[in-house]
Amino acid sequence: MGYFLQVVIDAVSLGSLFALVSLSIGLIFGIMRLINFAQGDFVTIGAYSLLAPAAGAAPVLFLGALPWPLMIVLVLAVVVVLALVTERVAFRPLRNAEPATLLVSSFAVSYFLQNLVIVLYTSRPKALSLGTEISTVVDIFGLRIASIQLLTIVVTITLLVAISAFLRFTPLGLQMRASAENFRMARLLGVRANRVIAGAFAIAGFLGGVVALLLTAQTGVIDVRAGATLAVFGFFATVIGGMGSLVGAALGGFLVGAVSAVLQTILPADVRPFRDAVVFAAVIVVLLVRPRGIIASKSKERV
Amino acid sequence: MGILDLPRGGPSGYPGSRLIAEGVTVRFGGVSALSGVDLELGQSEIVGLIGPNGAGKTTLVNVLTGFQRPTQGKVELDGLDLRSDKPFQLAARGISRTFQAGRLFRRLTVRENLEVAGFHTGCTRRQARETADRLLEELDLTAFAGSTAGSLNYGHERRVGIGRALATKPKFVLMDEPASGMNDAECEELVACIAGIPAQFGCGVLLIEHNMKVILNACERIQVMDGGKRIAMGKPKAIITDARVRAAYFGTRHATAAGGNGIH
Repeated sequence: MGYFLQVVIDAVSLGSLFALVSLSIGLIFGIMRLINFAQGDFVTIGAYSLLAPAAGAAPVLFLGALPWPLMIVLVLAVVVVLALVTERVAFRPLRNAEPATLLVSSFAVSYFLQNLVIVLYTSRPKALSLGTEISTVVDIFGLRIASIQLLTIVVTITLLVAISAFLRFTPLGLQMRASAENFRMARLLGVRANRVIAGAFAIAGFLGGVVALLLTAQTGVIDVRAGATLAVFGFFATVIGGMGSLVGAALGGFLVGAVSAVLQTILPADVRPFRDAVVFAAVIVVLLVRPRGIIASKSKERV
Repeated sequence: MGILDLPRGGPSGYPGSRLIAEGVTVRFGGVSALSGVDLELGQSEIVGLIGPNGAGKTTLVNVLTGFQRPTQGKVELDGLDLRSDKPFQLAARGISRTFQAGRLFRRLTVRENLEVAGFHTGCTRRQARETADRLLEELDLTAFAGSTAGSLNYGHERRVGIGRALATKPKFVLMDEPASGMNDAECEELVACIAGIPAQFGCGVLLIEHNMKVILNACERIQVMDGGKRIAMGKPKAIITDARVRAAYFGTRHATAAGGNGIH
């Protein structure tokens, strides 16, 4: 029983990160039909902003040297600004282009950011321990849970609640939901495209910053490829959940996390290194059974 | 040309704003969808736009709502050129539109559908909600305020579409076949609803419609188009007796339908 709960905690905390990434991807896709693969690199940049550019293996702290409240605020600010600049420079000029063109642009942004990191920091992964307070283990009902896992779960659930409240109760949130269903109609009714899209990117940037901090705290390593891998998992989660459904995207994130964590446990030790291949195979199976995702979006294609 | 009885400045006696299309030509490749069409709409009148399929009615509405840039000609609201406005600017200037298929936000509630349309004025959520609730009451839709728009039947869906267009606080609403697919009873309700719009909401209506009963009962003026040109414009009574109109539009197919209806 205890072991089972341990796996559940692993699943939920891993799924939390995927859910935050898939929600970001789903939010932007819903509105502008852009699958933003650069979302993962927003996370990467957020993580590297903790460090100062340096070639050596030893980490030189930048934002990571600040007191933690200031550090958190600044990392989030860096990623939000990055997301907004990306939208302005790479996506807004292509607003009326085909979805495929937007996709190509998102890959370009992704590779640009990765190579920017390599130029500034080299491609060598860097170790960074984020505060000793959160690397403790807490004892709950006889379960030993890493406090960072607990923190990840609590932060994610708080953010999911906050975002759904935002979408439900604020004018901008309501305009985003309307735009996600029929952007053209929404614009005809006076919804300002730039504002809604910038809002979506700001939220995606904010979530990317949160994921950067949580991921770095969990792994203690900053790696240029970490974000891109996360984006792939997050994208699968979005697809499984049903493109265009935000609830589906979040659920998809938790599901992919759960499958990964369970596989990590039940797979024979020899196969474990190939866990991701099994996860991706599971994604294919889900899509064969439900091609439009778990929560199929009912809205028709935009005209 | 007896029924082209309007002076160039438009019908007098209508106060408020004027939406004007002048000499509008739209060419797709070598094909002219519209050639030199004029249209004028006052803020307190209901104008019908009729013509056979392919006459250019929808293209003209697309031009008036910024969907389609005219190859030639101009579109003005009180002397202001609208041709390069973005969609949200058109909404802010007071031009709104309904579509044949309701195009509601199906996952939003009926009330939310109307609320969304109010935000361009910079109002708060509460103000948007108040406006929405008032409109729903006037359109007799209060019972559906909390329902998901996707769950409505056809007639209600249309009415919510009209409500949503009115929630932008427009000076002009352009309606694309609001009665299509409706039965007689629903059509009568619709006519009553549309006829009340200018007085109730201070908003002019341009009505594209194939149902002649609706057109004749709701409109004060009717513009007839054929082959991308305006072939007639005038009061309903004059229109249905005009020989050119009968030839081009009513033909043999529609003659009985048009002749059998009362004219108001």
